Amino acid sequence: MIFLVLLGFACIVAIELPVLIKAQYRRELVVFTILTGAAFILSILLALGVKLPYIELVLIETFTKLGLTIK
Amino acid sequence: MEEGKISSFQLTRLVMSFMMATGLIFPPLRGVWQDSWLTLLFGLAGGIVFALIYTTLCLRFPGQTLIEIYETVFGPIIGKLFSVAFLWYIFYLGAQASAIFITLLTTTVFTMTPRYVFSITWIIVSVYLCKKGIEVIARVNEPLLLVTVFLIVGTLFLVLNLFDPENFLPLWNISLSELLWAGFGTITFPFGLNIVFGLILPFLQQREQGRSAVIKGLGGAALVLLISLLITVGVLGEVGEIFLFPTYQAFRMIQIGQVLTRLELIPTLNFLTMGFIKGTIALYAVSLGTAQLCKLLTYRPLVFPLGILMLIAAHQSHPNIGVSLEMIERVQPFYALPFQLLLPLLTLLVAVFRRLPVKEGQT
Amino acid sequence: MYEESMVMKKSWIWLCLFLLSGFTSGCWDRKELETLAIVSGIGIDLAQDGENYQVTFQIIRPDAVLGGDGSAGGGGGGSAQKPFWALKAEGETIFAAIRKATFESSRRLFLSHNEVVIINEEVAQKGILPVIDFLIRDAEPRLSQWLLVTPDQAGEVLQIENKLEKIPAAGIALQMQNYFATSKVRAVSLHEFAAQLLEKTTANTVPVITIIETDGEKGLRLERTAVFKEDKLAGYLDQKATRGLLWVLGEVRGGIIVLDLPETGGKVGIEISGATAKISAAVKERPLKLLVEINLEAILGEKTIKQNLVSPEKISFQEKLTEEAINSEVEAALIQARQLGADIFGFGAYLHRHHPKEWKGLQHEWERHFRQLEVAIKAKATILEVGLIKRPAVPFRE
Repeated sequence: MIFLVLLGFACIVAIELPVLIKAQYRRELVVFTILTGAAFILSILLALGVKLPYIELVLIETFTKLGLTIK
Repeated sequence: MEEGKISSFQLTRLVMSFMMATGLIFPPLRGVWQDSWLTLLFGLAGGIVFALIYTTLCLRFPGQTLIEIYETVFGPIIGKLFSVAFLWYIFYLGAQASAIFITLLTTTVFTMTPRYVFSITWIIVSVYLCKKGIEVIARVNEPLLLVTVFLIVGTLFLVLNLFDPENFLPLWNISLSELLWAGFGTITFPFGLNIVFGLILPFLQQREQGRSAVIKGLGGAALVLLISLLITVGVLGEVGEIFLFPTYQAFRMIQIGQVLTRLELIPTLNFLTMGFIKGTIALYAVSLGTAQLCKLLTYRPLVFPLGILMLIAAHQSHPNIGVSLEMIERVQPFYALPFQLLLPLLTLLVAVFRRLPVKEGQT
Repeated sequence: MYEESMVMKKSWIWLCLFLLSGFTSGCWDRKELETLAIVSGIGIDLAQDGENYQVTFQIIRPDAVLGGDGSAGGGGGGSAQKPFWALKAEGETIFAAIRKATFESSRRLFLSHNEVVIINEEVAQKGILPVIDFLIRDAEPRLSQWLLVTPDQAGEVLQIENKLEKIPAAGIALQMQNYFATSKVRAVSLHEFAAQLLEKTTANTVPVITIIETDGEKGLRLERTAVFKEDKLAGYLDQKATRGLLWVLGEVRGGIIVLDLPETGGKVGIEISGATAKISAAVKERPLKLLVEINLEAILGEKTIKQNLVSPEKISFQEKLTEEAINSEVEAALIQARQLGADIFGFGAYLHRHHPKEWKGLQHEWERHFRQLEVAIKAKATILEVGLIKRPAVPFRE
């Protein structure tokens, strides 16, 4: 599983990076790196079986605490 | 940024697909089974009001997307803050659409296939399409929408023998407060979702037609959803309320001779195509918005990483469909309202108050 | 402007093709016919201990079904194998039993083609919601399967070979679909049953199948109708009352009404060709008054006397007798339903749909209101045809 994730990200970087460097897009490169890095870390965590919080559970909990729900 | 342009008719069809997608498989019912058609119309009216507000904004700031407008109106810091929240909302919309779709496939047809198989294929095609730009998305949407509408309207004739008008009685079996709550839910999901097009309106060939195009799209989507709802309620009757995917179940009932059976693939196919367009539009809007937020020259390199993030969000969306139902039925309206109504409304008021945009010649 | 170079575009396409080939080259959930045991009928009994369920699966043997053709032509040259296999499994729940069946079956049980679900009386008395929950929830079984109740062991019912059909469960399904030959059976699918469970007041009715023995050979017969209150078996309707029920529901599509002619002592068989029913209510009155209008179109099917009955007065006299017969059938259904306190007609649902305001006050004590309900029956029979002969086969001027 981890191998697949690594392979996938390697493909993405291989596709996007050369074009970005060649065109000398600095800001684009920075944003791309941040986003890809975030995605990479999350994917690895998931592949390792780390339990991440579920988005809807967090939202439901937050809004229930705020009292903003339909009865 | 985006050099493509779409016609207003193409926009109408994009809006239709975007609005219909989830509603085709998760009809806006919310415990008001027989009167769901009423809440649907209620939702449509609300959706149009929402659309009027943000299209007014877009007309006021021609050529700018909502992200740029927020920054113009609120200044760089608060504007960016709003934009980030708004982008999260759109991002999660796309994730939700694919999460629901994956659940549909895994609970009905492919009960043993791992979930990531669907999401990965989904995201790859979606990313490819996004990179091609809005023009291509609009063109791909055309045949898919045509097929969807055709299949749904066509099914209307296939269910004539199963259809029981009694299933809609009693007609007004709903109290005003129930109607308002259910209508509130229907406004925010699906009709209010059209706020996403605040990021796409500037790429219209005839900008002044944007508003009417969006409203026409809403109307069209409501019509198709209404037909799908009539089929579902009329065929299943009260029992439909217990099903997770009532539309799917209604189509399962169709059996004409020994030939026309197993038509449940129709709603699955419809949602496959429409949900795909929905996810793609959401991904496109997020990528574009993020690029504008960071003042990039192009959004294209962001599509892939954002697509993967969307996939992860889809997987981390809910542990089981029960949570998703709770979310859609109880929390969604309050969660969506700030992004769909309050933020654009606030922006409009501030813009009017600050006399923005500053016209040429004025200082 | 940022543009991808041609090389990049190409590599992009290659990547797509590479990945797609991995994901599209097969189907994870493929179900090859030869790896599946296709279930055609499910029978549910209580196990010996009275707690668990014993589930019987009638599994189609594809080879034997196909081979049977040859043996019929060849005069018994084929295999002696039955075209089906009745597999029994016990489990705490239905699903558990289904999975336990794989201990004995080389193939996975496949439920999408199941046609009938036969439920033993004792299970029905305990409540069948636990039984049908799985059948509705799971993705494989379809909602169009027929539901039946049997006083015998359901496992035994599924063992009995059909005289005409190779697959007995398919035979039972066909027997149900032939209900309009008499309109004395009410065929109920899983969907209809579940739909009525959701209506607070309507009692479900399910046909009863029993094992009979004629000339030493066992067979199956549909008779009576089981009445369910909520999901529990409450009692039975006889055949007369069953048709009475179908009259009110407007589900009569055919059948024969036998009339006894007064004075002459002869009999006339009226063939039903179609009927409709319309309910209306006087909701303000207490006890509640309901009016059921039944419209019947019929054919003069047979008669046993020499007299010619095809004259306007005689026809209208027979129509009147037919109406009386319908009345008595509906009356029988009403009496039996009142005794059980079970609203099998869906009168409550009717009031809920058409008089929601009044219904609010009635629904909590519906059983009491139902027992006191005054139902007026207004049957209208029209004889449209008299068959191929205009007078009986007796000499002229007798």
